[in-house]
Amino acid sequence: MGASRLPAPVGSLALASEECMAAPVAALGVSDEWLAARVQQGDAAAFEALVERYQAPLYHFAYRVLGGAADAEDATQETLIQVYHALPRARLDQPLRPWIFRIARNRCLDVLKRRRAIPLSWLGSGDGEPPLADAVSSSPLPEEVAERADLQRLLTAAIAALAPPYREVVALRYTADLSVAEIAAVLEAPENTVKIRLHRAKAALRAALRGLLADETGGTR
Amino acid sequence: MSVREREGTADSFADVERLLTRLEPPPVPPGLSARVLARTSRAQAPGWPGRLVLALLGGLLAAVLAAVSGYAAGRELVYSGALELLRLGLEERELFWAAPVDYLLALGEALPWGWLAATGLSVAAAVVATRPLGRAAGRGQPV
Repeated sequence: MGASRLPAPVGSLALASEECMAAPVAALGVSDEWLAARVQQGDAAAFEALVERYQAPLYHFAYRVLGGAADAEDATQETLIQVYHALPRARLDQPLRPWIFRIARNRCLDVLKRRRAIPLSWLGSGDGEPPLADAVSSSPLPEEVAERADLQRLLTAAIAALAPPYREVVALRYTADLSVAEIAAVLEAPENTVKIRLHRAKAALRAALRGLLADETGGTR
Repeated sequence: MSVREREGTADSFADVERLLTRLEPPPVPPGLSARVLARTSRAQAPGWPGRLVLALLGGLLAAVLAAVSGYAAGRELVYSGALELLRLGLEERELFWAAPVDYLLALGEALPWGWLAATGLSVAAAVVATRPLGRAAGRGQPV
């Protein structure tokens, strides 16, 4: 392949230099907004690069919120297809990442609504905090929890036990790796609301983990 | 929640933070991106030839309008005497310089403004309508 020709995955993307053109766009440091602008100009390869970039974080987010692989895959697909249809009209003067995750969140909420897993009052901007059912435990978890072989199973179960509004902030923060400001943009809520929700989510997680450990101890007796 | 409670978040939940940083992502289903791209390319497929045909038809229609209005404008230029005035103005400059305002007023009255505007608009419409064809040719692929 000559320097003027692009490798197959990036197709017709026109980059500034020949060195840039010889590398896959997904691996380059080009911004989401740059790719989105290329999509708006009709570059199919730029959308392909966005899909490659976002499929994993979106799937991880949906998996944690919905708690199942099949639903997460459907939600991820629907999100990316909605992004494809909405991108031509998207505003590129605002960060793309929160916008994409807002779409993903809405898809997940649709699934949860169909399951009737959340009261409608929790779907708002987050001004009113959902009730925290479990009593908040203030003492830290035992150190040996981190060394357990089944840590992933425990964490997955504890996250799944959270109420959806807490589950989504945990998923956005710890699986999609969004900042508090980005999460606030996704939820269209003030940053303080996000901080409070994260705080409560961690308290609820600790309580859930403690509960799971207690169940195991009780079960082995 | 109190301010103190919020400020203490980082320290008071260090144990939970530590565990969450060890949370492993689930494996992404193989072929997920391929399925998305297959669906988006299916979604665009019917629209693309339609847009090309529309651009072609629009361009042709605008070109026909440009030809008709151009012919009519030319005919009116001859019949109204505007063409003769223009020729005189260009060939016999002293005629123009003797009374430039009168010359321009006479020319303004004689010119078939309606047909000239219609011709200009039709040409502009032809350029705009056929722009997608140029983009498709340059890109070599539909979007």
